[in-house]
Amino acid sequence: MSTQTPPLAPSQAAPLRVALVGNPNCGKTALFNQLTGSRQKVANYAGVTVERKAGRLLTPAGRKVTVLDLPGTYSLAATSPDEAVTRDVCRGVYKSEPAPDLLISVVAATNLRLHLRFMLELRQLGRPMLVVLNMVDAMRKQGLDIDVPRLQAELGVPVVTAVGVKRGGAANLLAALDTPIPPAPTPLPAGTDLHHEVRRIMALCVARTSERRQALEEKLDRWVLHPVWGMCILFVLLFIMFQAVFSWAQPFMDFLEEAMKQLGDFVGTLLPSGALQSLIVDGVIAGAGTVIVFLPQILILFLWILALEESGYLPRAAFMLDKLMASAGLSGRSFIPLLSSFACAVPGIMSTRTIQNPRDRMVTILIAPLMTCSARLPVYALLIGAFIPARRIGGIFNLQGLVLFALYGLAILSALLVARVMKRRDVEEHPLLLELPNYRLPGLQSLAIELWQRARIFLSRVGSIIVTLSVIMWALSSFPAPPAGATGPAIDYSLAGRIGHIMLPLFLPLGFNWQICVALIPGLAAREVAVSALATVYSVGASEADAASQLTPLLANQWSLATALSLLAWYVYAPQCFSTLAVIRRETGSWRFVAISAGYLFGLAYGVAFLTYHITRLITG
Amino acid sequence: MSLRVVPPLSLQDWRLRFGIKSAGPVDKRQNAELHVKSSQGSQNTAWASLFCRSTPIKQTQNILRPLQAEQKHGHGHDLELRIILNIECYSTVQLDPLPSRIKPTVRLNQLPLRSAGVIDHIESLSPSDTIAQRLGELGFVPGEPVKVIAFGPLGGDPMAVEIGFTRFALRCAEANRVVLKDMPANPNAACPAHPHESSHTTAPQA
Amino acid sequence: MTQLLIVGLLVLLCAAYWLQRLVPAATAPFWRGIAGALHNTRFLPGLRLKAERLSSPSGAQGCGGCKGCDKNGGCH
Repeated sequence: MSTQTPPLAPSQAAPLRVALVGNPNCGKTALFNQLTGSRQKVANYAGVTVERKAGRLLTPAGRKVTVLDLPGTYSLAATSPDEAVTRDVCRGVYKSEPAPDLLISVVAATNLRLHLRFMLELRQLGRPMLVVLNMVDAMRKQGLDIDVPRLQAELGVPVVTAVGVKRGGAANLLAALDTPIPPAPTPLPAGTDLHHEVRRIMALCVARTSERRQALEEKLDRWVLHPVWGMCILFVLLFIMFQAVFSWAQPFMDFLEEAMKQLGDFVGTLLPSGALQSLIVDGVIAGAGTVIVFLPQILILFLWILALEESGYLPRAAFMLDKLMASAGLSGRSFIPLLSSFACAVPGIMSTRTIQNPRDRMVTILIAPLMTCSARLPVYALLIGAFIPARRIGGIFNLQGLVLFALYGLAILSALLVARVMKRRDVEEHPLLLELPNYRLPGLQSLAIELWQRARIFLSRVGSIIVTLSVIMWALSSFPAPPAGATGPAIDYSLAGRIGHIMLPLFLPLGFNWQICVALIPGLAAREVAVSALATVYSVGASEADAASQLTPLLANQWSLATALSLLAWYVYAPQCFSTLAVIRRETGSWRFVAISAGYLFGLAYGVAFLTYHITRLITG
Repeated sequence: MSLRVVPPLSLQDWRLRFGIKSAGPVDKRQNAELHVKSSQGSQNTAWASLFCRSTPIKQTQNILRPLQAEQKHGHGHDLELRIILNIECYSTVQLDPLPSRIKPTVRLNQLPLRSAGVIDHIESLSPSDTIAQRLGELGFVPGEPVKVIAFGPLGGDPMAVEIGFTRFALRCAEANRVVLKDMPANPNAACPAHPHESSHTTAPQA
Repeated sequence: MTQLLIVGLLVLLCAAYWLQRLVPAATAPFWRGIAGALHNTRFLPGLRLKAERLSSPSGAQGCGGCKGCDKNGGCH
């Protein structure tokens, strides 16, 4: 893989290098967090750990250890890129990654039958290893008991127990890391039936203390996976999600908007009027303020996605939607990357590494930018807020929420159609083979940490990308100053105005005015900047100090409904994000795919915006 | 893409009709390998060409003739007709001239909802069938009990099965590789039959 | 006049920030200059390290100007 971070620098006393290996859903990531204290994604579906993750720790006796968290895999016979990484690192043939001194095989005690097999496969490599029996608490709840000393004797490698999700749950492992590296186990004779061996060991070491119970999964799956009710649940969950983005966030957004307005007014009175005041008020506060307002909506969207992910529901949704994906020539596996793309296409495209079939993977990468990422939300929210009345439909639905839902639906439908077209010649069999993990209550603490990180990333983007671009936009739209005795608004004479007028002929058929054309350019760096750019362009143009908070009514006055809808349609498709194109380049290793995706997205955006504009004009007259 | 045999099979003239459900229109000639074997080991293989939807494959007659003779001698065999297109897809057809004597192999995708079975073996469709291999690694190995948890909406594909403490979602084409052992008793006596279950898996045994 | 000066400086800084993000090769000589000036001095070791790092831009960092994506799987 090209995304290797260099190996950790060796310290004075060369640290012990260990690697965590295990099946997906064995609690490896939680254990890694326990060990290293680094916060990272703790999710429940197969294959979340696609990046190389390393951390350091100090054992109680002061030994330095570097821990590598390898992607989860079911076997060393790799079928996807991330599994290949695990295989190569374990065998010690991975380039730029020396073989670990010690393999820590993480085994979920709740799923020994499956996980012990992989552990035995690892053992066949003949490398020093240690087995961590994770989730022993959940196992006891299932009414099982494991004879650990016996297991250790049978396996011929040290076995320690752990509870990855509990504070201090890795104490045994830390203590074991202080002991000398155990000798490499002697592999079983070649051709040994590992499943047979697993059964033999389990018969010897596992005892049932009470009746088997797996009531929760059984009860819930009866509804969640039901052909009719399951679909209803999925649809309702997604629908509430989009409604919530609009209704729950509103009070917070009103508050932020008011605060930004106050701030603008306050700074306006503080500074003497002139270029500096204009820069701070029209450029920085108007630019950053209009985007910050959308923080609550983005956090609510992430809250939903994270909660669904951590609860174990997502693979079930993939199950429910597999048929739909199959009709587009994809498998349910593509669903998880595509859902991540609703947050941002970049991690979505990166998580396509869990798709085994290369063609499926390419098509998923190509349609991932169509999923409505959270950066589009500010643009949608602004335009919907300005042009769609906040009416109640049927007493419960908010019309604005419905339109948002429709925009998301349009994007999904288009993505399926595009995938269908791309896969029309493809007749291969697409495996699904997806593990449905146990249900888990999302941990409030980990949700809070995740949300805080999202908020931080968003705010740091506002602080860096959006503020700097707003300043540049302000400069472009303020200079050169209009000649003395000019009659029109100042912005007509500025650089931005000129650029906008040059672009206008291309976008006029879509109903765009030159202000939109100007805002499209910085929107390439980050979609949400288009909102702040519009704010800057309009506030400079209108030369009103507090125009930032009045962008919504301003747009409602200046644009026709057709223009607004056309811009919305444009944003559903437009390849307006450098980061996405860059990550496509990196993941596919070819500029051809970048060109294909940018080309088809631009074509779609132009075509659909054109149609939307003209159809709306016909209808509204 | 999957091939599906459209009933009823006309056994008198040994002509089979194939309905081709494909991802796109089958506009080109596709070569198909027809592989027929009986439970007593008679085998026959031939190449045939499929032209388009529902074209009867005349060549099938020639393949089946020797087996037909065997049938006439009164051995009620389990006939399996497997069609392998040059692309990886297939279907298994049970030819069923004497229903009372047939003991069809039950596959995982034929199990009704909430019924259980025990895996007999995993069938590889080709020497390098990664899906069959992966199934084995996921714990689908001989002797393991499996239980059907759910069928997906719209046509019952994919399906969710429980094996040990793990639940997996499989497409039916994947589940079709999992051949189950014969059950001593009717496996779903206690549970209601699933609506999309066809009759032949629960055929009474002689 | 002072106002115009400050404004000009701020705008230049922002433009430089974007030049660094989009074309790191273009700003390499500047960083090389800083690294050279700080070489063998004890001032600002952090800045010196950063300058040394940025004076030879190698390949793509992060995912095309997106810095947050490797940390937590998301840059937006």
